[in-house]
Amino acid sequence: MTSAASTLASRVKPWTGTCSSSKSCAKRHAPKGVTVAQLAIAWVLTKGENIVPLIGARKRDRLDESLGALDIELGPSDVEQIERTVPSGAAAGTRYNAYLTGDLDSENA
Amino acid sequence: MSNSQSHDQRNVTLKRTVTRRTLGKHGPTVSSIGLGAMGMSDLYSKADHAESIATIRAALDAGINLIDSGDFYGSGHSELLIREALTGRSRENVLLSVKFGELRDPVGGWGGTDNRPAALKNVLAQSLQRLGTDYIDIYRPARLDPNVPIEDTVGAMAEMVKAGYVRYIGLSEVSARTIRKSARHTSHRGPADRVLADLARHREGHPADLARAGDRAYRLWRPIPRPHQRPLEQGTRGRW
Repeated sequence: MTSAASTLASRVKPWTGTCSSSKSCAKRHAPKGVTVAQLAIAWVLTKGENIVPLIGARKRDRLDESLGALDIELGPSDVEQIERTVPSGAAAGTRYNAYLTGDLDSENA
Repeated sequence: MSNSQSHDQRNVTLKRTVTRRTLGKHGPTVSSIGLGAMGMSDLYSKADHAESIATIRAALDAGINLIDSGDFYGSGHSELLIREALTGRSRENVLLSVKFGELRDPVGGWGGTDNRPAALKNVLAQSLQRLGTDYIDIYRPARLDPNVPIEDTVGAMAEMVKAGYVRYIGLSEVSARTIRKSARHTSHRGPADRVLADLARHREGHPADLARAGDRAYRLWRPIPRPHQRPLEQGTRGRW
């Protein structure tokens, strides 16, 4: 892990209380100078070489922000800290409403 | 990032190196980040046309070579937009990933899924026309059609691979079971027919495990969820 990454880990604030959405949760805890989107993309990039995050940028400034995630090197302790900060299930709500979830083979089979 | 570059200096020492990742054991090599085109054509607030074109081109200039679309994104709008953005660019430097099977109506409503072989060949022909290309790199049904065996759908896609219209077969939002069935059905064919599974799940689960273990599967993951889905009127089912 690089020194930059260890700095990042120390700056992810501990998770307390509840959040109304994963976005509000992450925003509260993202280190200064790093946006929620960048942190999320950087996190996904650590999850496996067979995973490719898709970014839905519609504007050049958003694209630029997303590409900034490539400058964030997350080490194992960063990932651990992020997942402790926003644990699986911490976000409120489901991916889709009940009707849409009903025909998702990935969720139901 | 080297030790001399502190975290706070990140904004002035940007590398932004888009590296490459291989999808599955035999799949294409793509940029580590892909551009998802849905929001430029559908489901979000209206996008600015010129800015959309400029964004696609800027993504390519930055080293992104994977563009993810669907024929149902704005009922063809997305593919026409991508065609315009790629004008003057080299086709072989871009990987076009296109989802199919979702039915729309003139007001943007949703009408279910149709992954029948005849239907996919029909919409594939239309996608090729809209994109102005003679092949799609990764073609995949957006959802499993409960009324069509997955073997029929991937069988038709394999035919299209053999005919040269599709390079790789993909799947989207399917279970591990469906991936296995699809893989079994295409395993006797050449490497280009191998199934690539797009597992857009946000939770750890069996398809993810399969994706890690398998030589065919990979995951395309949308890192930022859309705002919590508001209740939708029947007939305007939103999906992506």
